[in-house]
Amino acid sequence: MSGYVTLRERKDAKVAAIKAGAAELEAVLAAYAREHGGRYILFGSAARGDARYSSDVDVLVDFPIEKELEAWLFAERQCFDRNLVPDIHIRAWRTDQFVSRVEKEGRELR
Amino acid sequence: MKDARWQDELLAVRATARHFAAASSIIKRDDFDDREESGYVNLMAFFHAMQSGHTALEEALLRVLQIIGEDEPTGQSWHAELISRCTEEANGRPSILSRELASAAQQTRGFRHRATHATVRFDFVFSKDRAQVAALAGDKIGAEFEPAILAFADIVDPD
Repeated sequence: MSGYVTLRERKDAKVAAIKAGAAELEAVLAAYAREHGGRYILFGSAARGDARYSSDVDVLVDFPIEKELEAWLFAERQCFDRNLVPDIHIRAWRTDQFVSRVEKEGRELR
Repeated sequence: MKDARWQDELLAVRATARHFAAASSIIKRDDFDDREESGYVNLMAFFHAMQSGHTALEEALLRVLQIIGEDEPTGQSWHAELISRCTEEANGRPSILSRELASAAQQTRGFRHRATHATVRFDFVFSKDRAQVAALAGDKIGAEFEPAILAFADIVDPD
């Protein structure tokens, strides 16, 4: 017992912070999507609940073109505010195959 | 006499406008099918012009902060923070960007982000509608960025 924080403990704390942040993120993104007429999909490790200490947060943004920028900026800001690393995808830029996979494995927020 | 560094600042401002003007011209072309070489060239030229335009814009904003001795934003959010910080009146200076200009800059930042990721994976769908929206934002920056910087310089460095 050195009294110092081990790397394992630091990683475990980071994972716990990512999971807590992602849970908060889901709620605020869902509320935004309901209010602005679009949807987000949280996918990847944050959605599955198996995030690692180095995991980013994968979000698909699916809003009408005139609302897309603000929806993207909102999701990005919410991630930054929670010290999450965002990997945000715009629906229109992604292939149907990609979106289909995301829809299957992810959680739709709206 | 104004600080000599405003001359370098103007080079970055004019580079911003030049890149965005090129992007605005390129997006008027018809062929963006990257399976053929001509479409690939058009697509990459457009992406590169938009990416370079936004990078030059960031360089210009960072130079302004350096001239007035203000710390640059840091951390993973610095690209977003740079624009929002420059939109606020703070630290004894006026805002550098209007809200409308800042919104255009966020649009080109978003496009740069997506274009950068798209070209390293090449599993994207090119949306000309969205490209045109981004190009219009670039047009606005091209038209209004230099007057904004000159007006700012006149206030903080009037000599």
